[in-house]
Amino acid sequence: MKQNRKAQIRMAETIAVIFIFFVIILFGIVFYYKYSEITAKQEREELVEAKATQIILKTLFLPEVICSRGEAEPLLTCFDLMKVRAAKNVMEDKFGEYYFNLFPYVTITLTEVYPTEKEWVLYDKPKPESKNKDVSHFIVTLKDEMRSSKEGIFSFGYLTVEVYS
Amino acid sequence: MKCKGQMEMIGLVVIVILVTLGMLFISQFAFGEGPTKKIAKGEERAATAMMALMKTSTDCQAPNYEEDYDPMPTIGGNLIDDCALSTEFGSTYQCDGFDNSCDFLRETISELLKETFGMWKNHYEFHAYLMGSGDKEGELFAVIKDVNERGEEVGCPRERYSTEQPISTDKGLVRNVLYLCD
Repeated sequence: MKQNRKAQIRMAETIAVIFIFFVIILFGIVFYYKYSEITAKQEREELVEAKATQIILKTLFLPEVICSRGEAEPLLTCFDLMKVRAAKNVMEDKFGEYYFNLFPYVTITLTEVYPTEKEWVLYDKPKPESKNKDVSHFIVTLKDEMRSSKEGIFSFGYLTVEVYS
Repeated sequence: MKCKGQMEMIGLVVIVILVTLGMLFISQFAFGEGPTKKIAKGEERAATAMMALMKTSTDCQAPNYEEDYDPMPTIGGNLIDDCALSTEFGSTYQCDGFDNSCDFLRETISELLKETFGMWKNHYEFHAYLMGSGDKEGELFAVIKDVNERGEEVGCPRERYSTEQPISTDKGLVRNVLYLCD
């Protein structure tokens, strides 16, 4: 009888240990699941952000809109508004396929903040049925030779890239 | 008796393994991807914003137009120099609605930063230090900081990304510093 009781106690002990062990394992699994969920979300965000950065860089160095100075090096982070006005139609209508390979499913907008407030949509190709978009901004200079008789004026503005995912 | 000891040993080993795994997870969280990438991006954004600010043309005009004066003065190219000199000789450039180029500069830079970084919910601070003769350093105009909904100045008191654009003027070196933070 005494031995039987001792065996029961040991049995209960073993069950308790196994229970605690599984609880720890469960905690580990939940923790790992949450961790991988957060990591996946971060990676997805980073990927979209990297894509936006890549598109910003491509746009900044696009010969169609960059501020060139003859054979000299072009001005960095500067857009020539005379080129922008003309490029808009070319990019969307005439060579749509070429630019789609360069910027798939994005909207690129150029905004002038000072001295006047204006906006130009350089490229607009929203992804059908897309619900998420990542918006990135980049401050740039806009050169307009039509507004001044001498060398043109430099405006303050920004580039907006909306990446659809 | 010997068997019980062995069982306890195994239990201990299992606990040690679990604790080690837990520590590994925690260390991954604590020492994961550092903020280096973020800092580089923040500094890049600050640098391009400063470049664009300095290059911006304004409507200010020189009273008696001469060859030396730019008909479309820029913030970095003409007005900062003019502001530094204005404390002694007064402003050469006339900016509509402002007594001197320093007031115009402060108002314009403040507005430009508000309409960009302010709109994107980024905090910022803009300083223009005038380095006079010797080590003496003074503010060219009052510090520009972003404001919150209650109208209080916030700025970047702690972690921040910065860029600097020094401009040489006849009065001394002007250090323009832009701080950005999230």
